[in-house]
Amino acid sequence: MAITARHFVQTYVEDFKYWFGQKERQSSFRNLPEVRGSFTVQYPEQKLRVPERFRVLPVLIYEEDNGDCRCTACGICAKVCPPQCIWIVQAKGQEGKPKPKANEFYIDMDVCMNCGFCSEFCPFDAIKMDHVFELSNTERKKSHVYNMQDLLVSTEYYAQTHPRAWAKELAVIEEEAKKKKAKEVAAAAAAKKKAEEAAKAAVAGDAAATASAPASTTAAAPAKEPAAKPSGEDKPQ
Amino acid sequence: MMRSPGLHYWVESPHLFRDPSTANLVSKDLEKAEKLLKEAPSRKDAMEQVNGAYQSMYCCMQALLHSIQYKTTHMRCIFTIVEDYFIAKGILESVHLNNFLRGLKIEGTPQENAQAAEAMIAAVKKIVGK
Repeated sequence: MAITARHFVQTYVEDFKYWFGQKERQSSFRNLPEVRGSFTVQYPEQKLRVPERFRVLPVLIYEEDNGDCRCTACGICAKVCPPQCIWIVQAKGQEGKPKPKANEFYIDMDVCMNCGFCSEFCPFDAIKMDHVFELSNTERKKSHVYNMQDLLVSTEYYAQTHPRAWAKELAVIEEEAKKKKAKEVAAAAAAKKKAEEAAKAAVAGDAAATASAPASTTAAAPAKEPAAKPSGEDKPQ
Repeated sequence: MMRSPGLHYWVESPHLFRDPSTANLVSKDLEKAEKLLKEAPSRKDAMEQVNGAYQSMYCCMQALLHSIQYKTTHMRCIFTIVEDYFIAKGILESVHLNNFLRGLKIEGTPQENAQAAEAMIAAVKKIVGK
């Protein structure tokens, strides 16, 4: 009874707020993730917004500014995929050596079980789970195996569908950039210090050399003198 | 292998949307394409050079889309629009799209891809009137 009452109240909370002028009604207010309660959505004309962690099928990510695909064809996604629905062909160079880019990338959507392991394990953030769930068509064979063009979506789209995850990614990138910059600054400071120390040592060495040069001449002269003296003394004998 | 039946699918999808402000981006896209093509031979290995040429071709594709005031977030959508609009109307030759696909797959030599990118830049410049 309490649960039913709660659902009933929650269903009309937004309406109460609107009636009492506390809130402006948006055209798609039922789509907001914070809206609770029981209500009917006139699908397909109306659609509920899916939560960010909602996952349907995997997609590959390319950079919006230059179209560069993030995938390096490492094959981890294909290895961890429980139903083994991913095929990757690695690009090869002119000498036949494998290169860190995908030449072909296929996902069989009939076999995919939407577990999201591929996106969890991808070390390059190249594969993510999409939100598009209206995928039915009248063709059974060819169109269910997605190739690289079918799978590639831009970073902009990912930022739209996964705003929190994208913000986290950006924060990590910024932090890494900061760390890298700090490391570079520290390295530059260390190099500068080393250079200064080396310069100081060189100056000290020069000073020592200039100081030791007269000392050695003065030290050598008396050494010669006694040596000469006995020889001179020896001569008369 | 195609998921999309054609332009209608993309018009209704969240991946294609009209944005009048993109008309200003055409010249920037072409400048970027030229810059990337210029920088491509100085990259460290053949794969990176091919990738540089591909990036240049991608910027050309973006310029084409922006010239008709559209923006997309899906690679297949780029292919569909170029094929069903620009190539079907005889505005662009299909060889450019094939070269773009080859670049995406990192196929061919750096020289071939650089030539393809150069030809595409020239063709797109002609189309957009820059």
